[in-house]
Amino acid sequence: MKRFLPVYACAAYLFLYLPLLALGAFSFNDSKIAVWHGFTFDWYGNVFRNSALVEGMLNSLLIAVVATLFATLIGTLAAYALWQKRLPWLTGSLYLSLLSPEIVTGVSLLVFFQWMFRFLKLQLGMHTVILAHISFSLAYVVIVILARLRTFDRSLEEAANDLGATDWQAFRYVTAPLLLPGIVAAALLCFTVSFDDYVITSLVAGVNSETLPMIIYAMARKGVSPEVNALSVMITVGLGVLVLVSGRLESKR
Amino acid sequence: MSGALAGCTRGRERRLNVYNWENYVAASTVPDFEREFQCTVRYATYGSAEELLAKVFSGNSGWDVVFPSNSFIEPMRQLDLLLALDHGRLPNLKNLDTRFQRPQWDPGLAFCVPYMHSVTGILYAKSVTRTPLAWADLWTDSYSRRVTMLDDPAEVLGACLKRLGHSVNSGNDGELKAARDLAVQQKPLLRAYLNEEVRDQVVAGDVLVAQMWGQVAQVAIDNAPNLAFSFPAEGFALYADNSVILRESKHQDLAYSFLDYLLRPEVAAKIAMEMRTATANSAARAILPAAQRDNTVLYPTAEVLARGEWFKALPGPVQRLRDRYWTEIKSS
Repeated sequence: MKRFLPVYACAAYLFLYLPLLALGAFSFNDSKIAVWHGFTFDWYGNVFRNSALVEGMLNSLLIAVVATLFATLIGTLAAYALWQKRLPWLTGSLYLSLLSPEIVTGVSLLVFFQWMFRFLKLQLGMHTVILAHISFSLAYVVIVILARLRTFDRSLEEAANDLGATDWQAFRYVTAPLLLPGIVAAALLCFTVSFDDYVITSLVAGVNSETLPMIIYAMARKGVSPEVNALSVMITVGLGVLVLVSGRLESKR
Repeated sequence: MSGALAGCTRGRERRLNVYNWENYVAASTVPDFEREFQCTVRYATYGSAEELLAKVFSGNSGWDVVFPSNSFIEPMRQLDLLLALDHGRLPNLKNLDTRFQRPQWDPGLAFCVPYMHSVTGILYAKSVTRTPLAWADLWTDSYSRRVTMLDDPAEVLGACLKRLGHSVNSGNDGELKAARDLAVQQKPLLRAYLNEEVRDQVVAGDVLVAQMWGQVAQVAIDNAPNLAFSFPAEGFALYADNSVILRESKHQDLAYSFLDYLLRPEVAAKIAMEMRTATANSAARAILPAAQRDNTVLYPTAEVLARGEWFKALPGPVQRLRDRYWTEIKSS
């Protein structure tokens, strides 16, 4: 059994990464079809020359950053409250958000926004996409932080209270610093989920808020160009660096 | 917040938001328009008529000019989504082919301007053992599962109905049930239900036979001369995509200018040549090179067209019935 473990591990990693490696290899291919022709960096240059792609990337980044900030803030406080008050029903209801199909969430948000806009005279745009992302990311954040809180010793906060700290001070100086790795992990998850999202974003996006997944989907329909490969490699490498950095931060504590 | 962002990135420029099918404008069409009319155009594309309808349904989507297929014009008009067109602002309307001056779906051209048109037929590789000249051929086992049908309820049900000898717009429950059963019968022989995205697979030789729109088929044939297109013997569907202005549009001036711009012979001809589409503009067709103008896939002869039938908008209960049968087909 022990001898086969490395084999299984290798197989699992290959299964995960072989498609990505193939994607990366063909991003350097000097031809549009999947037959190796020559080595080139052209496609990477094309990505930055394509103004629609750059705009999509900036939109996606902006939405992801803002949504992550708000979702992490709201989610952390929500998780703390749920843990303090021990409310299993309320916690369970958050799982509903995770379990429901994205199309259901997307359509219900679209209907809700359009109904609100009758009174507010607004249109779909970046603001609706960000609100939608915050709402579906909340569940992820709360679950990650609740998991971390369950390993937390309640007596630490009580000790702080005994020593004269107010509830807010107890949270700020005792609980929050210990929770920080969990908060960072939740923020990272939130960023990835928000950056990747296609279904909900495509339903609530306005005329000017095309995100990167929406543009890649439209490009893929026309017939895949290696620009998509180059872009995917850049995104994977970027997110990989983020994960490494956050892992380092976590191990330093 | 988005208002502030918009203020930072764009000044007081004139904007127009156009939502169109993919591959329906040449590379220079939109930039030339932007230059001539001193504006910026937000140009986005979609892959299916249902996608378009979902976006504009609310009447508050932000798009100005969209391109629905002919069977969606009447429903959209009933939903109050379309602007009644002032022909005085569209002087180039006279360039339209006589066939499209008084079309079935909008006899007075009160709401739409026909743009591009085609048929639904069969795209196939000439090397197959059995040339698919009729819908019935797609039910035989001669293509080792390398067959696809369109991911479109109207098209699949239409092909089945035609095979049974009925109209593609049938609302009769018995006929629709028979069509549904035919489609379910065919499903094991199919590789997938795919729209335009299957074109590359046909060019590469992965897929041998595909139910496909004529314009897309022509692009595939250009890329792989071993392909051909057939107009099924039992009959086939005709469709036309039309430009419309949405009633919610806040840029009606530019929208009219854009519609009129697309009706210019040289502009329409350039699009038809570059993207290999079939234009409804006869003045444009006249200035195309002979090989393009007389291309029988894009511009079928009158005797072939006689076998074709236009899609019609269907009443609510019929549409719901068809949707239910489509769900049953897809999930069987």
